[in-house]
Amino acid sequence: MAKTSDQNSTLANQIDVPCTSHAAAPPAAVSMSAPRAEPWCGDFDIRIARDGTWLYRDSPIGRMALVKLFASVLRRESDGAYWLVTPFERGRIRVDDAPFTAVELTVEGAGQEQALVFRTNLDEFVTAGPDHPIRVSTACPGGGPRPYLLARPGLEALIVRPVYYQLIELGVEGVWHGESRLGVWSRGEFFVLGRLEEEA
Amino acid sequence: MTREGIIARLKANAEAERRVRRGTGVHRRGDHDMNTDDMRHPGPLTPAAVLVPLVDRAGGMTVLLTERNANLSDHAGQVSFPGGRIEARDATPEAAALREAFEEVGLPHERVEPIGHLDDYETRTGFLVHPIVGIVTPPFPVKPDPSEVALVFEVPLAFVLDRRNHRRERRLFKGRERVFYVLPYDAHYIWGATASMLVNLCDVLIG
Repeated sequence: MAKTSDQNSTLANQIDVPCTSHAAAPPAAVSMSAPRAEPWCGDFDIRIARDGTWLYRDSPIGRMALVKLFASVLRRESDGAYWLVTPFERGRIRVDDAPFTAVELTVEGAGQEQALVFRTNLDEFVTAGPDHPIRVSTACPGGGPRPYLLARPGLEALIVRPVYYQLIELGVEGVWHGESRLGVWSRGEFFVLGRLEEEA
Repeated sequence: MTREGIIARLKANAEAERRVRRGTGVHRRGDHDMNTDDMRHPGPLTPAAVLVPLVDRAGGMTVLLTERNANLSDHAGQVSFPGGRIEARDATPEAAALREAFEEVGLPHERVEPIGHLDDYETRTGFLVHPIVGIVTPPFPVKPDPSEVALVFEVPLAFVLDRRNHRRERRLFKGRERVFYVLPYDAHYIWGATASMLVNLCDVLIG
């Protein structure tokens, strides 16, 4: 039973995409050296776009429940790649930026102990804090600031611009490595957003 | 995207920028992005301004671009926004952008409503470009200055906002490999600084 591949149980077959006439690509050769418990099933033709949309063969996966199911088995491994892992199969998927987006922010409480509660594009709620840090990357291609929230171990959510602006509105001056910075507090942690604008 | 939506996004961007310093010094956007810093222009930069004209067409917003005349030494045959260096008589980068848009493509000032700006952009050729975003209300005349502009054309904003159209390419320039953005639209090859500014516009509008 475990060895038989049930066509309908594979992750890719769960996707509600119209059948095309050409056959699916054959599964990749079994890796000789992969020391993995689960069998290697090749890469899925799944991509998460920068805006958080999941695409199968470049068509958006419309069913939210299915996307959530996939997301529940998404992991990032030490090689930096993103994997969908079930007891029966595993495969890499492509992630253009971060696997999730943070699309909404609510503030509970005030001061250093306030809680910044983010909602992700998959309706998960994540409160920024020691286990869920916020970071702003300025080293990315294109030069613009890119803010991220760690949603799950190894899996970040790109904070969408309107929410990023909201964070900046909430920003207060704090000290970071002895220097003054603009940042936000959540659950007793100070997260740096950037340098303070110099007074003109 | 609607006119109101675009204005709201540009305004929010400007407000955030007032609070957090960005786009200065080492963090400035430029041709060195995705490359090494030694690609940066040594020495002082020449201030310049471009107009990022968003044309409010009935069928949807478009972005107006020019193809430079093939005999221009600096940017021959390239696709770019109307613009140029900021002259002493220009009170602001905005004024320079509007003046250049009139001189190069005949766009009358009164058809352009400036609504904000993108991040400053430093070119490898030594310009510090201030991109001014303006909404252009049709109808407007187009009179390209033949000494500078070979062609004026419009790209649907929806094309620019679809990140699948943002490609990264690498090519040898003077013996060194350089990485840059390309937005291939129709027969037009939009690359380099102009492509980067369009990516920046995309970040501001839908990021």
